[in-house]
Amino acid sequence: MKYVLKFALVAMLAFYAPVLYAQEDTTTAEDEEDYSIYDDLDFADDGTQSFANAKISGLSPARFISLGYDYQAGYDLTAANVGEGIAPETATINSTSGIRVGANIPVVSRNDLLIQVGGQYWNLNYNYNDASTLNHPLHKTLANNGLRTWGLNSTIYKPLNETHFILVQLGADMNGDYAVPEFQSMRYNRYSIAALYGKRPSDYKQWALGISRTYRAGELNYVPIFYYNYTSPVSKWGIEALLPARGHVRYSFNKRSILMAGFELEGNSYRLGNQSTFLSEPLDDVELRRSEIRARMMYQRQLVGFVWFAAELGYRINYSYNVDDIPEGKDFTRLFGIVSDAPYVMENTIGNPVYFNISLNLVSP
Amino acid sequence: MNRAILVALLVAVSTITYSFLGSDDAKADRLKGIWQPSHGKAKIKIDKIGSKYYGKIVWLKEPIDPETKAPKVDKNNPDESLRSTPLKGYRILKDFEYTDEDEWSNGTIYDPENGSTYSCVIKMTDENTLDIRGYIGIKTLGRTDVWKRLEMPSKKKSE
Amino acid sequence: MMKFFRFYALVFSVVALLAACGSTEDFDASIQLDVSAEGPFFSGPNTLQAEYTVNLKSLIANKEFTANDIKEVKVKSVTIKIPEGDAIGIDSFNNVVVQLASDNAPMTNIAILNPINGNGNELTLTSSADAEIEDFFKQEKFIVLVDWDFKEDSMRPEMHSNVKIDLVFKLKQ
Repeated sequence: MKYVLKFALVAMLAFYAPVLYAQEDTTTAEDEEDYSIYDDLDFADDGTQSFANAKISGLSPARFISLGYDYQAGYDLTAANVGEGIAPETATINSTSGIRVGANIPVVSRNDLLIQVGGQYWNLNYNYNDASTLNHPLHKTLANNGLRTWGLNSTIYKPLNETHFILVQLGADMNGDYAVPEFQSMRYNRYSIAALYGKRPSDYKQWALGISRTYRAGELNYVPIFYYNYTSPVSKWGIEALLPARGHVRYSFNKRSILMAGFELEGNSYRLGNQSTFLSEPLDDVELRRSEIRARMMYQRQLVGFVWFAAELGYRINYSYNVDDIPEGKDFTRLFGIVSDAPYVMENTIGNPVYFNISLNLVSP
Repeated sequence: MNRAILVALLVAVSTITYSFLGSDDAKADRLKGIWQPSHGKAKIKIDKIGSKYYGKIVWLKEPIDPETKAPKVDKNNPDESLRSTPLKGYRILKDFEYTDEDEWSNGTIYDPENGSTYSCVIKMTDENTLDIRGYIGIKTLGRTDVWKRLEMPSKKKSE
Repeated sequence: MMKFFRFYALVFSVVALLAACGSTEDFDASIQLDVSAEGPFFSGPNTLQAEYTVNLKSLIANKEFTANDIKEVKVKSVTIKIPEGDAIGIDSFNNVVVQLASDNAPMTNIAILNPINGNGNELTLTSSADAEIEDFFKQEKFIVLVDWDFKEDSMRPEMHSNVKIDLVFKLKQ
């Protein structure tokens, strides 16, 4: 029995020895490195496929969370006559300003599929020179209620192989002169979609062609779109574009300080008359087709860690500020006059002021 | 008889304890190896130093910087004094500990493309696949990249 | 008038107290150790390493302090020497990187030299201006890693280097 016990103790020690030894060996060293072998490795899984990455080198950082303030300097707005009952009226707006808050979070993040979901809130407050003397219902509702947008969006990136990909962007916006939390009926929501098919030939270039249903021109349109991102491998220059929505030339002083110059076409269709009786027959079911080209310089730089500051300065050039009659929110498209030549209820004239936008952004990995 | 029970108990306890200790180390060590991030621009070798895991760049698709025509260096490092550190051999995964079943955390991942260091958690979804999630503060604010295990062609043939 | 003086005396003593609480004193210290690795060494970065046991008592001459007294530790300079008589010289390497690692502090890059020019057997590296390494001295031990980037394969069975790290300790008073 004594021997059995001894044997047991020896066996136990033998069992433990490597473990005890391993615990003491805290300076575990790396293996020696033969770098020449790394050229010719295979995936351990036979079925493993490489996919085109969603980004290219040197792009300006994507934003997880953005808190911004937008300010347009003064301009005149001439609200057009509506039949013979409402006379045209020109009023001076000293400034138009509002906050812009957005978030964009990746919900699916795999090599073969990326899905991001985001939301945003924008408001536009119209600061009239003399709001008490306004007669035109458009002026009155803008002065009293302003405009706001609550939106949801999603971006889906689906690489097909090492070089080709599909990109889909979806958006649902509630735009209008509504108050929060009353909002407005969901039937006035405006939906946009873009679908693109593209190629990423290298880490420095990606491009895609597609079609979109968009409100960027104010009213509903269907337009071909061209996506193009490029970073020069040998200089600090690059291009980031999704035409016709936006196009910028990029200059990177370094990875934490980026200057961009170009334009953005920004717009949407805003339901009017939610909050007041300013707009009555024949203006009881109308939408403002607001669209503007923002020709701009943008500078963004890292403040600390993942917090970046962005400032943009430019001209806000009007593209559309007309009003359409949209009964029950059932929208239509003119498609640049090809499909319809329905007249606008109002064709307003608006000046083109200088604007600036500043924002604090939490940028994504 | 009592002794016999004692012996049996000793052996059983030591075997069970050993298997637990041994298997934990073995489980943790599954992270070691050569891995390829989804962008395919680099290959990363993960090794153990002390009690933690570190991953260094052992291969670059483009080892030469097209701008300088010299081997790539860590030119975006926020610490200017370290910007000439070569990227080949650079440890971009640092300080990972085996904290949960198939999970290594408390580490960081460095992105040489922009000089940022992110908190990071590594999840092994199968023996040859890692979900590498880099995040800012909370895990929701992050992005996951899937890394695939690489091995020698000869090793595969021999299996 | 007395009130006036009393008020300023109070302000002065509060300021002095705060200043005393936050004041620190700088001390030079240096650590030295041999790092090593077994061969063969292939072209590219190869890691030599060693464990350093922290002994605060012998770090700064005539100054007794504990881990709690350490406010900050910065790297002043790092020198590496290949032992006399070793056939290999610094001209055998493209570059060298020195890092610290430990169980309870994040790995930190403390010095580099890229490219390595000249020959001989001793090098002074460019040390990190930002690296804060106090956490390494608040534990029992840490690991020093030296990555020598070999220009060519070397079949030598082992390699040693002597690392000297000059430090500045900021100690609470």
